[in-house]
Amino acid sequence: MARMTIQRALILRAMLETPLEDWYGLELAETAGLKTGTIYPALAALEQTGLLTSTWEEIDPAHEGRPRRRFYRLVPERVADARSYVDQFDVALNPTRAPARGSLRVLPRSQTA
Amino acid sequence: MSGLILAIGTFALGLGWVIFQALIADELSGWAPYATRALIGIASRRLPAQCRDRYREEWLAEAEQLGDRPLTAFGYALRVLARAASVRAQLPGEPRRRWFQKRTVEIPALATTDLIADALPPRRSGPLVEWYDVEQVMRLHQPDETTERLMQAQARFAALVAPAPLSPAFVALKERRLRRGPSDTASDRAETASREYEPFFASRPGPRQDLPRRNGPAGGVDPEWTIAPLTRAERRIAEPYRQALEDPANCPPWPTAAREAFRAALDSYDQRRRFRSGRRTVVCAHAVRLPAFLGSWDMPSTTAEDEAA
Repeated sequence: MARMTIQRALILRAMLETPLEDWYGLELAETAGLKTGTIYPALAALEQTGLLTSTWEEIDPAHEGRPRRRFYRLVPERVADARSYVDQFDVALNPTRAPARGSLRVLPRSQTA
Repeated sequence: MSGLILAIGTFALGLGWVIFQALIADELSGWAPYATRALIGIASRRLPAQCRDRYREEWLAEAEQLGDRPLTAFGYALRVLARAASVRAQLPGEPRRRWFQKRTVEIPALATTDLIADALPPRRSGPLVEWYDVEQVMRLHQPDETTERLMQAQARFAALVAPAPLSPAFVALKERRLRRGPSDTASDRAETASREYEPFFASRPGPRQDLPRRNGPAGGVDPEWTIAPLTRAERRIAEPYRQALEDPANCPPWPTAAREAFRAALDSYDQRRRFRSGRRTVVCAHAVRLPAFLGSWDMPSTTAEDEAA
């Protein structure tokens, strides 16, 4: 399992809300409450650990008039691992302390399961 | 009356400021897309070669999505650039190396060369700067050797380089250049051409008379100052020494004639400063490697003429 970081946990938590959905970087950064620059190292790390996979958007850039996006998706076989990852992260945080980042919300166990 | 003038002046200044701001905003908005693409290009070049195209396209696509807000897209590109090193750390490929590691894990001769060359700034302008610094660098390693003997060693090294398929120092320089990744530059084209020609050059014994013809009227020195013509220039300069050593009849009296010939060669070396961007000269790379040859050098250190002088 990859080393836990706030960014990685927030990304996984956002993606776990709709595990089968494709996300692109900006969208994911906005949903997870991360800055756009910080999301790519975390995505790269999660992809390297096999929790995420990425594919190119299936469009014709010439026809659409824009470059194709890179979509990230949870690997279906690793969804349980991702949940475990987020749960461990929540447990590791002391809920009595202020979150390290303003965007971090420590959810009750019932909501993370 | 003065109040009216003041009011009109204030209004004019305010109007001018508003127009100025609008012009500046337009100018920035016009430049931002270009700057955004440039920054993303720089960021992608900081990644391992196999990942560059993928991330460049991904980041450009996301910046494109912010296209209606060019300054926001520019800020996005800045953040991407700032975090490129972190992305690199997560990706497989070359390990991330810091500046001092880059300097020290290269071939030791080259790394040492850079450091020493940096520590010895040119003291005079013109071709003799290299001459002077080479001697100083050599003396760091061989403080007891005479200048003449060091010069002979330098010439001996040049002679050894000439018949070699490729000097290890230049192989290292080439590899370092290529590790920056492919790009459609004159430098890379010259490098590619050089690699294609190398087997041909290596297979031809004797003086490489084809070099000037194949590399332009400059006699092997390409105006792009790339590694490839540099290697060829190296061989061209070394060729007279190699010939002299192969044919004892042509061997000049040492060291007086060698001094002049070597100074002439160093004049040519002066051009290399442009390739190495300043003080880091290839001449110094040779100088650092020279002590290894001193022990096997058996030419007389002085002639009778010099002894008398």
